[in-house]
Amino acid sequence: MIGAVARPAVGRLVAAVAALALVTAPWWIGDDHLLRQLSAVAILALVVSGLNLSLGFGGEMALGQAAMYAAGAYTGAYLAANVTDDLLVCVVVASGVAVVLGTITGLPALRIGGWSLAVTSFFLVILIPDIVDLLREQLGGYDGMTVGLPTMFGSELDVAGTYLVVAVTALLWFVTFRNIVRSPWGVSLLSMRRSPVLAASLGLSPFRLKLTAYLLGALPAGAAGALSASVNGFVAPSEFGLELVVGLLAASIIGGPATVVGAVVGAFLLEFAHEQSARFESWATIGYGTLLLAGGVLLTRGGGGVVGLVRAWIRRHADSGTVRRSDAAAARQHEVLELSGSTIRIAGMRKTFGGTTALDGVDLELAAGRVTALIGPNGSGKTTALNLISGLSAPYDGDVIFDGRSVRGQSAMAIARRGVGRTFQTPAIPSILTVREVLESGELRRSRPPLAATILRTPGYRRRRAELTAEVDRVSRLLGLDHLLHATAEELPAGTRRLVELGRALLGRPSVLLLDEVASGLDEEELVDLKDVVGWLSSCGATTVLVEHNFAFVNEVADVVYVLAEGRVVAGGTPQEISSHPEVIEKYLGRGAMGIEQEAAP
Amino acid sequence: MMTTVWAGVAIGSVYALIALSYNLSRAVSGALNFAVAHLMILSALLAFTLLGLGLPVLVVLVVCAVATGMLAIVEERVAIRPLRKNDSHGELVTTVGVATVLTGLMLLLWGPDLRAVRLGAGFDDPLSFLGGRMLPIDVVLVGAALLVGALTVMWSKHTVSGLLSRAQTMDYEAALLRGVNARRLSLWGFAVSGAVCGFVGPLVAAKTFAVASLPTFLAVMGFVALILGGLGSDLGAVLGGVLLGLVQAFASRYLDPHYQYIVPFVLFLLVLMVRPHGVLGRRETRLV
Repeated sequence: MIGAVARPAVGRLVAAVAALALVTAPWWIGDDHLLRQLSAVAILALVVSGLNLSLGFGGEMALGQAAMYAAGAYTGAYLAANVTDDLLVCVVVASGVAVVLGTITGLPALRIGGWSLAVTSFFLVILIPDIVDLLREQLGGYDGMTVGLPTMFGSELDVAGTYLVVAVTALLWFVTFRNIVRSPWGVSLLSMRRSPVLAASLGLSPFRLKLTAYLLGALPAGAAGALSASVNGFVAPSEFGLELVVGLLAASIIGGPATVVGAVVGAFLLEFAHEQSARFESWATIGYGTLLLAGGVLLTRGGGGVVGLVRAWIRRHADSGTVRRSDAAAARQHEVLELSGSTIRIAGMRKTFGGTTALDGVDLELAAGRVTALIGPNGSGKTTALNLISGLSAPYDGDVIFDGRSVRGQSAMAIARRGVGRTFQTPAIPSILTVREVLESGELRRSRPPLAATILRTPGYRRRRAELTAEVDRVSRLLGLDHLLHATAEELPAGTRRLVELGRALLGRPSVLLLDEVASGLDEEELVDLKDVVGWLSSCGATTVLVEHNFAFVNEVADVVYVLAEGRVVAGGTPQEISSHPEVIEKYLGRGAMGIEQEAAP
Repeated sequence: MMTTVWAGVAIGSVYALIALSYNLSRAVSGALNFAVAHLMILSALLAFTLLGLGLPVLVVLVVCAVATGMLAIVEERVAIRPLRKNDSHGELVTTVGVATVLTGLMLLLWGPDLRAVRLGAGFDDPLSFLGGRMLPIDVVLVGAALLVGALTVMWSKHTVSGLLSRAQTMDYEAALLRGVNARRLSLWGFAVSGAVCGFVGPLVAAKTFAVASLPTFLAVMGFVALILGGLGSDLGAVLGGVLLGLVQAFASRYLDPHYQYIVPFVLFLLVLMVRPHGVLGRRETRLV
C-alpha cells in the first residue's frame, strides 16, 4: 500500500488536481451552504486521520480524538471570546492544548494499550459535559457558547474565507500525514502493529512509537476543533457525545484506517450519515454498529477499508509489469555483503519457567563467519536459547557475551541495535506492506530519519532514501527477490516470506543472524536455494545461528552443531562428529535415522 | 455518612456485576465483551414492556434471561468467533460494534426516554441499616453481585469447564492441542453470561432506570472497576466495583456532583500508572 503501488506519478497528479479544486472551491461554488458542508467534511477528515494514525498505523484503539477535538473547539471558542479572534492563533493554540490533553490522558494507558486505552477515551468523552459545566463562566455550561466571526491578520473572514482556512489547514495536514506514513516512520508503526516482538527485533521501542503516533494524531484533532467552533459559530457539549466517538471510529474503519485518503472517504460518509441521522437516529446508530462489527473483523486483516478495496481492484486490473527474476545464485558467486561477524559466548545459561527448567547450564560458542546449528527435539531449549541471545527473555543465571562484552539484562531492542538480526518461526510480516517496504524496515535497526526531515522531505532525507533504495535493490537481487519487490509481502508463499525476512535482517547489516527454523515448510527446490544462501552468508562474514529440526539440512550447511536435549548440551562438534555420536543417535536421531530425519512442521 | 456509604456500595454492586461479566467473557473466549452492560439494559427495557403487560416479576426475569442469553449466542457467532484465529484484539472494535447496534435497537424500539422498571411495591420503602438508609433494591443488588461473584469463583475453581477455561486463557494453542473444545466453551460461556446479564439487567434498571444512553456509561465504569480490582480477578471485580461506587458517592456528596465521575477518572489514571495490573490482579506475561 504505502509505496503508492504501480504509478506514483498518476497518484500525485490526482492529488494535486483534487487539492487545487478544493482550494479554488469558493470561486466555482457560489452556495454558502455547500461550502459549509465541505468545511464540515474537511474538519471531520482531520479528526479521522488523527485517529487513523493511532488506530490504523499504531494499532491501538485510542479514541481520544473526540475529546481532543472537543478541547480544541473549547480552546478556540474561549480564545475568540476573550483573547483574540484571529483564527490562525486559535488553531495553533488549540492543537497545542490537544497535545497536552493527549499526553496527560494517554500516557497512563498507552503502555498497556488495548481496552485500557479505549476506555480512557470513552471516559474522557463522558466527562466533557461535567467539565464544561464546572467551567460554565468561561465555557458556557450545558447550553453552549456562541463564537463570533473569525478574523485573520486583522480582517474579518466570511464563509468563503473561513472555508479557505479550513481547506488549507486540511491540505497541509494531509501532506504531513502522507509524508509521515509513507516513510520509515509508517513502516515502523505497521511493524509494531504486527507484533511488539518484531518491533523490538528491529530495534524499535513500541511505547515511544505509540506515543508519537498518539500525540501527532492530537494535532489535527485540536486544529479541527478550533476550526469547527468558528465555522459553526457555536460550541456545546452535546456535539461531543459518544455518538461522535462511534461515528469517528466507523468513518475510520470504513474509509481505511491504514491509508492516507481513507479519512477523507470516511469523513464524507460520516457527514452524509450525520445529515440523515436527524430523521433516523436509531437506524444510523444501528448502521454504525454494523459497520464496526464488519470492519472490526476486516481490520484484523489489514485495515485498507474502502480505499484498500479500490486499490486492490486497480492493482488487479493494471498490470504493474513483471520484472524478470535475475539469477541470484550466480550473483552470489561473485558478490558478498560485508558483514563483520561477532563472536558470541554463552556461559552457564540457566532459565526456568515456573517449575520447568528450559535451559540447565548451557555453554555455547558462536563464531564469526561460521554457521552454528542448534538442534534437538521439541522442548529441548533451542528457542529459549535463541530468545536469550536476542534479549527477548532474561536468563535466570549465566551470561551472554558479545565480543567479550556481557549483554546480560539488555533489552531486545538494545541487542537488536547491536547488530542482531533474526527471522521468526512463523514469519512476522506486517500486512499490506510490499516486499520492498518490508526489506527497507530492516534498516530501521541502524537509523531512522528525524521526524521533521521526514515531514519536510529534506534533501538529506531524499539522499538517504535513494541510498536505501539502491541497497534494497542489491539485497533483493542477491536473494532472488527482485521480481517481487512490488508484491504484497504477506500474500507470498511461506518459503518466499522466509527469504523476505532474511532480506529484512540483512538490510540491517547484522553481525549476528538468528534463523529460527528457516527451512521448515520449504519444498526441495527452495531448500537447495536456501542451502546456497546460508553458505553465502558465512562467506559474508556473519555469525549465523540456525535453529533447526531438519537434520539433513543442518548436516550440509552447518560448520558446528550443538545438540540440545532437556535443557542441556548433549554434544557439540562438526556435523560428521554429531551424526556418529552415540548419545545423539539414541536421544534424537533414532535408530538408523541418520540424515533422513524429516519432522513435520508444527 | 452511612447513607452515602450504602449508596456507594449499591451503585458499586452494579459496577461489580459488569466487571464480573467482563471477566467471565474473557475466561470463556479470551475476548472482553464490551456489550455486557448493553445486554443488561436491553433486557431491562424488555422487562419494562413485559411488566407493563402484567406478568409476574419472576416470570419476566426468566424470560429476559433466556432472551438475552440467545442474543449473546448471536453476538458470539458474529463478533467473537470470526476473530479467534488472529489474536490482534479485533474484539475491541467488534464488541463496541455490537454495543452500538444494541444501543440503536433500544432507541428504535423504546425511544430515547427514561423508563422506570418497577419490580413491585415492596421495593420502594427505604430500610434503616447501621445508621444509614438503603432501598430494598440496593440490598438485592449487593446480594446479586456477591452471588454472581461466588458462583464464578466456584465455577472457575471446581468444575471441569472452569478448569478448561483457565487452561485456554493461559495458553490457547496448548489447550486446543490437549483437546479443549474452545468453540463450544466460548459459545456456552457467552450463553450463560448473557443469561446472567439478562437476569440482573432489570434489577440494575430498577435502581437506576432504563434508557439507551445508559449502558455505554455503565460499561466504562464497569471496566474501571475491573482495572481497580485487577483484570481477571473475580474478588477484585467485586472489591473494585464497591471501591469505585464509594469514591463516586463520596465525591458527589462532599465535593460537588460534578466531581462524581471526574474523581474516579483521576483515580483510574493513577492506578493505570502506578499499578496497571490492579490491586489484586496478577501480571500476565506473554512472549513470541
